[in-house]
Amino acid sequence: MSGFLRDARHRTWLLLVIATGATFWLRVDSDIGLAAAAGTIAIAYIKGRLIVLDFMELRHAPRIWKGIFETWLFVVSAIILAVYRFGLPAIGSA
Amino acid sequence: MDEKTSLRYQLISAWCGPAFLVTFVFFWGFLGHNLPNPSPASSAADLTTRYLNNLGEIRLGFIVSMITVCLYLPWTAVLSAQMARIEGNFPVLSFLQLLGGGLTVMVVSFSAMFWAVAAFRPDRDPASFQLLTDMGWLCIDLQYACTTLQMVAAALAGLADKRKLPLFPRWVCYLTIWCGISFFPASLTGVLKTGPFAWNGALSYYIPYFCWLCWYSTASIYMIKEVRRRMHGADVPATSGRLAHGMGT
Amino acid sequence: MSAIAATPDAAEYSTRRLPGDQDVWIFIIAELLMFGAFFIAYIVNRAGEVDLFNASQLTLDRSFGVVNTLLLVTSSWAVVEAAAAVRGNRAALAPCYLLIAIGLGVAFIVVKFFEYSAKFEAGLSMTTNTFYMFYFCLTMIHLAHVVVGTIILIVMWTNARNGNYAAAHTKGLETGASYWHMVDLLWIFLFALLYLLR
Repeated sequence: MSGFLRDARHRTWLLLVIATGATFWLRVDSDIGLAAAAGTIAIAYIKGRLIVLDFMELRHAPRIWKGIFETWLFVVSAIILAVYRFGLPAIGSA
Repeated sequence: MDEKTSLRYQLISAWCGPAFLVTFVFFWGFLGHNLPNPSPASSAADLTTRYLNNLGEIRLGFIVSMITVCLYLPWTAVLSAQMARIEGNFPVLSFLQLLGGGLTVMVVSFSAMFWAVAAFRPDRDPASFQLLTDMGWLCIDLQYACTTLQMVAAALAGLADKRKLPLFPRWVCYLTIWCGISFFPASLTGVLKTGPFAWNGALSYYIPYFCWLCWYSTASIYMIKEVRRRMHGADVPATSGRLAHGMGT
Repeated sequence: MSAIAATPDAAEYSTRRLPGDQDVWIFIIAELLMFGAFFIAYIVNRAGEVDLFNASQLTLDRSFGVVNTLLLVTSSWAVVEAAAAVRGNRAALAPCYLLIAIGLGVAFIVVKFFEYSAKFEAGLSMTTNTFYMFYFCLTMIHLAHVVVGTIILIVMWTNARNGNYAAAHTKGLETGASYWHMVDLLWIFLFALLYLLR
């Protein structure tokens, strides 16, 4: 098992599986709440980042390409969380 | 026809692209009151008021747009000829693009036709206004596949262009395929009356139509450039090894 | 040759490398922007009808979503293994890994088929309410990407079996792999939005 985990690709896969399990547990065990929602979005962001950096192999890609994907991940996650938390009218008046 | 005249016609045809773009957005979009367009959820009475309040503009917009939409035809023809040069003896993709472009004109034209019919008799019963509005929108939104094929054919020919200075850069070809695919959510307009996938929604109307016109403008730029290169004799032939040097460069 | 190339720029170029075809990455970015618009449309519409979305979401079977996430993540991993095998001069292993990836992709489609059947049987459809409109539209558009991705994997598998990939020749493999990982990435967000976020 430790031999299996010595490989970065296997570790990424295991992290993704654990993170998927974590979202499952987070939703089952907690009431509807901001912390649970933020956790859900954060886990999606982390999983997405693992896929982009390790599976798409952008960790060592030229900075501009890596930057585009990092930005997409961050902006999409941030908008989802902001609209979840504040709704639309608040954003419109801000 | 001598080459100079031919090239002039080619250049005019390629410039029909930008001309189509401007007239389409102005007549079909603005004058036809399609920016923003009516909601599929609005009542027959509301739709009727919409027509009656803007009768002159709507009539003018759609009648003229049915003429100017045909500027798409010369553009399609010059693109077919440019693609046939890449393809060689069996220009299947060029023919496909030609068919797709020709049918796109009919699809767009018929949408405007239904709305022109609606505006023809302002005293008709509101249910008919609603029916004709539905027919126009479903006509243009459900029959996009010929345009998608036109775009995919153009992209595939562009990707196979191995000249030093290709007709389209490779990234334009991939964007073209993606823009063609972006129409697929428009099929949902056949079922939905509200939300972003209805015919007035961002994901079935604004984004795919914007993508289509984006592709159209980008392709126009590269097509005009290609004709200009040949006008200045700075062209490298597609299939044969003859170099067309000289002639003013 | 190596002496000339040993400038900082060349070193930067050799360490920082974009896998696969650069032009296909532009296609992938366009796809991400499109789905980004889908996600934002979902969350914005949800903000208008929070109770309806929360109530409807409870009728989804979350285990379908979890199983599908695990299938796609593992499938992506198998594709990464295939690329690593080719680069490590173990190209003979690549078809096996790609076959695993194809199998998991097909499994995703089968699970979706059962999930949709259960919904249709319960009388739920695209026109039921806004939540179900998004649920069906977004997952169906994504499913179309899974189908296309599986076909690309099958083409890659055929190429790998014919020995078309080698350590010095990985561009096609990497390009197809990037598309498949994108399908995976989009599902991660769809799963969180449709099944989890309440």
